[in-house]
Amino acid sequence: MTIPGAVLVVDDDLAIRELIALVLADEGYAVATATNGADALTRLQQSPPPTLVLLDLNMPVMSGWELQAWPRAELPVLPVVFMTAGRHAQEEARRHQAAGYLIKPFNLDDLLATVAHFAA
Amino acid sequence: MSARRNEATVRRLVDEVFNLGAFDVLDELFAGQATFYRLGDGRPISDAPRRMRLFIGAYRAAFPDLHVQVDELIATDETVTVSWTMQGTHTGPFSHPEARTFGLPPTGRVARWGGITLYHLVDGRITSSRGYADAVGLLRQLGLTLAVAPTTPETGATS
Repeated sequence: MTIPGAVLVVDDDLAIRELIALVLADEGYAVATATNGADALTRLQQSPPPTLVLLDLNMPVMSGWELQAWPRAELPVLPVVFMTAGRHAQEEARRHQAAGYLIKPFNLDDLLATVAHFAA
Repeated sequence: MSARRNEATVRRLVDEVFNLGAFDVLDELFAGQATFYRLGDGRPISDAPRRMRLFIGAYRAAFPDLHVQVDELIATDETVTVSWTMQGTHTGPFSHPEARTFGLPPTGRVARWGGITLYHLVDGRITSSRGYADAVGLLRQLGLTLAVAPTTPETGATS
């Protein structure tokens, strides 16, 4: 069962992870966080799936690149949005069948619009 | 007497939390259900200590040498108003809702920005915090701008 409006934020940077969680919670989303791909994978396997995953790509332990194949195979309807500073975000998102992308640095309005598009 | 006590509380917030990162002091300085008024829409949110911890932590993570200078402070028996200047070297990733920015990589630039914060206090503890900061000036110094007209965002959906 999918929880409406639930967002999983995956980033190893404490500030961006907790602050995104904070602003999304202020908007009424149920928010969970994970510090790397392995942490996120555990959450995805053990908890009801969220409505959206916001996924950083460069992380220690297990990167977003390593993680993203799992939801694509096991939860194909779950949208995953890449958060990346990479120059080729759009191509990378397309190649890996991500639902969307946010290029770092991104602003609050773009974050909220993206999350609303997939999880409102 | 209350005015002096209130001033001491706010100076401890600046000296110990902002400038030294002693976040445990927040529970001492803030009342349990203190209200934080969000910058921008002014929405009141009743988790001021947690929010202050996150917000100050985010500044200190991006600007490890962060220093807040009190330019002017006016204390009464119920309020403290502080005009302040923050300065720091941007050596860590910067994310902050007040600057409406997430994930700005370090630029190495020194930034200096100001603001004014109004605190309400009861029994020497902060019950509310409402601040205004020069977020535009901060972003400009870090090489970013806040859009004043619709632009094509660097975001998108792939389908």
